[in-house]
Amino acid sequence: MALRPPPGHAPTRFLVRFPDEAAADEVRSRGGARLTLVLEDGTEVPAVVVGSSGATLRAEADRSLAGTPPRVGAEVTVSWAELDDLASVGGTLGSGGVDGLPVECSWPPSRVQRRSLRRCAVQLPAWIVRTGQVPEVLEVTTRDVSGGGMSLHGRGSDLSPGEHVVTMLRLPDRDLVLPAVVHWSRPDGSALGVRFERISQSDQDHVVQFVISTEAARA
Amino acid sequence: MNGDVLLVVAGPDGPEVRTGRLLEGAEGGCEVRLERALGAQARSGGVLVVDTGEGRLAMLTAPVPPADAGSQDLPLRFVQPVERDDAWERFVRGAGR
Repeated sequence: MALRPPPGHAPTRFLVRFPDEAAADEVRSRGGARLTLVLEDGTEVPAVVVGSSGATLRAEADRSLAGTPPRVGAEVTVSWAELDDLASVGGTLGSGGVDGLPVECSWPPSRVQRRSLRRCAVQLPAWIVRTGQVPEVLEVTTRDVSGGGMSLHGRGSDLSPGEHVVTMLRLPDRDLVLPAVVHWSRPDGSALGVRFERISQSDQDHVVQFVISTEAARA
Repeated sequence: MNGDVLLVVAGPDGPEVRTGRLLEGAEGGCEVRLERALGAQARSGGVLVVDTGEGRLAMLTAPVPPADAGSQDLPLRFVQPVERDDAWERFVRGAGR
């Protein structure tokens, strides 16, 4: 059965449902406001997240699907770009409701690195120094590290994307002091990603070498 | 310029945070008087935040030589400003007078 838009509603709005609110928060905080739905026939439908409610993200396609109406039960892929990865989950189209076409998504996502600098998952002590009006030092732990940035978790903070900070990273052989900008943060402040800014070549080389040697030791 | 400073370096057990005053500054570095000296264990460069009176200016600093780390009057060499903005330009111009 081909899906038809509910009366009075455009066929380009999706209700992208994740298993829980934390998953939806992660997609929104790490992926920003853009999703891409890949339909059964390979058609890519870029969409903008226009709102959220609990475990559901409301997304609006950039173009009309009137010419290629998807069917109920169709398998789709929902993907989004993160700091250094392309993340995606499988989904199934439901029957259209008054607010749009529901897409029931699986979890967790698979991720493919799209960076030129490799990343490795590793827990290291790190600190974030906020240098703004009220200087503050936040204790965090790395989740993964690359020569371009790192993701971190720690106690809650109100760091926002775009804020300039200084990170201090404790590698086994030395400490690095690296200016960075917050790229994403979870709403509850429990995790965030930073991108290094104006990192010196020698510091970046040192991080890259650490990633390579850590991966080699695990192989 | 207000001249209050905050210095953060990595110590053996975590960040060491010190407050103090800016004694003199130049484009390449400055001297600060800390309320409490760093330990000789400080092993990294750090971050110096200066209250300029109009805002705050942050600089990355080179590692403190062990010979200096026990002194409250501490020379610091700048590696780079965290943001090379108008506040940095004003600091450099002011330091050059």
